[in-house]
Amino acid sequence: MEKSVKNKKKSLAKKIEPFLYLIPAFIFFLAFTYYPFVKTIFSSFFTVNAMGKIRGFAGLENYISVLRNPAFIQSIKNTLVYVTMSSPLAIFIALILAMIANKKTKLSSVYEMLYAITMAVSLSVAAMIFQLMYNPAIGILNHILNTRFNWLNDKKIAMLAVSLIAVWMNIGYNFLFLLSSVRGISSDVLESADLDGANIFQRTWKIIIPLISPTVFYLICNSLAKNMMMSGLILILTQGGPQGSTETMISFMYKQSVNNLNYNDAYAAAIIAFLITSVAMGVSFSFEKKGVYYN
Amino acid sequence: MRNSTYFVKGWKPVLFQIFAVVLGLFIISPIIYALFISVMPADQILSNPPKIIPRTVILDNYKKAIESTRLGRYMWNSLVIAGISSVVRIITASMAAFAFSFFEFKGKGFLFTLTMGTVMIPGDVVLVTNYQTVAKLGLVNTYLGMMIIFMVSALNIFVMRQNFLSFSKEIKEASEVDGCSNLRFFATILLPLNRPVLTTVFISAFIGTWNTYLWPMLVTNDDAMRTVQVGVTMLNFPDGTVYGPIMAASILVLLPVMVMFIIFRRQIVGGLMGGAIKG
Repeated sequence: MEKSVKNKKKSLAKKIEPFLYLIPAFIFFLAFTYYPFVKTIFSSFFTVNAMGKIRGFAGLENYISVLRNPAFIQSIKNTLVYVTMSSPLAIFIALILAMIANKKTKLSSVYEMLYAITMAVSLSVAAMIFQLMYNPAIGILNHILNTRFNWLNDKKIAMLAVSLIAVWMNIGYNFLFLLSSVRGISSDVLESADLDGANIFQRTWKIIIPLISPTVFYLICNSLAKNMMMSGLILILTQGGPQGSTETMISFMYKQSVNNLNYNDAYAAAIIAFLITSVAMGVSFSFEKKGVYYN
Repeated sequence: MRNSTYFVKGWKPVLFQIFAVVLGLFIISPIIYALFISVMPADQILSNPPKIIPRTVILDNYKKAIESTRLGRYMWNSLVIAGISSVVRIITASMAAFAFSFFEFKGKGFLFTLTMGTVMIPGDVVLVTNYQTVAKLGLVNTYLGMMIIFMVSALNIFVMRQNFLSFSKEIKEASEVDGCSNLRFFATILLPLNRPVLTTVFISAFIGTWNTYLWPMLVTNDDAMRTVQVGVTMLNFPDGTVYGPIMAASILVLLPVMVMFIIFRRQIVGGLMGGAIKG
């Protein structure tokens, strides 16, 4: 009798044991990912006062009002422009670098490090360095290019200037992935291509790209997710200006909530940003079926 | 075979390597530029046309950056936040990974999906709500408030699980025969034998948290509590010669991460790939 009670206790303890190991992680997941996500979606259908307290049901009103706000529409356009300018270019440059670094040489550890190290540079340090480089009077860029651009204060090129910083920062990360992927291609495949008389461009386009397409696809998704949510560079460098030309979805959300305490706009903008990012991911997944070759 | 061909004697491979290194220097030229500006006297920085190579090398900018700002304090804040939250992350991730790899229980698949599902929810989308939570808990302007959202990462759990799954089941069974409890197996056998992946997770978590900008800015308004990343964008200097000290401060903020990156590159890269490609 006593023994079976003991066994029961033991088996109960055994049953709950794995959950005990999961508790710490799930406390944080629930409190700082799932709860705020659900609450953000929920609150976006209500009117919320400046203290963040719910005042009444609003239906889709918040969404309608923020989508009627030309500043937010502008920020959606800006974000899409920014993503189109920065994501592909950073992957393309990284791919060239990976092709260059593909073969191991005596100095390869040196230049591999140089190509990769931009990923260790933080957003704010990159912003400070480029702010000086972009300075129209004493910055180096106008001097070297022999131009007179007011990089961050000209609404025609400010977004381009910000995108270039993002490209620079993402080269290192993309490079590391592409390098390991390019090096993973068996030399037999490349040698047989050599025998077929394929030149370097044919070889890259017809043989290497298909073989590394899973990595490229991962990098596209990764940079889409990252760049769609970009706000740090904007908040440090331009505050969305000049004339709203660099406002992104998340910098809009940030300013609406932190500066203006307008949570109605902020929640709706956050959810719209999330949906647009999801759609972009969905589109790239549909391309995956056509263009990505897993072996 | 392919690798050996580039060790063939001759000028072509040498030239290629020099080209590759020069290209690398071009890629990091913004960092070199910041380094040069940081050791330039103010008159050279402000000269027209701009100078690239410093004529004279001075360390005044560094002195100014350290002495007339709270850079030291910011660095300490960042060190505390990045260090503690990375350790906590290792604890939460290894425990969860242990449950996911050594136990069979009801709802395991569901809980694992729930874990990986967090990757799909960007931190920026829940930023405002998280701020309200932290404010409600009275954690604004505290270390805990700045760290609390970095204390778990699904990708860390994933990488550790991959490692734990390949851990020998025989050792686990042998330890059970010896009457070793699961907790003891976890703490005294599994973790010590998986030190490489713990290092990887710690280093990448540390660099990630050290470099983070938006959240620490949001939850602090007290200057003494700012992190380096926030502080470096708000440096104020009494006179007009700001750029030299700002670049010096930027180099100082960059330095610890660069050094870590160079030393631990293998581990960092291994961790990245493990989290993204494997499985």
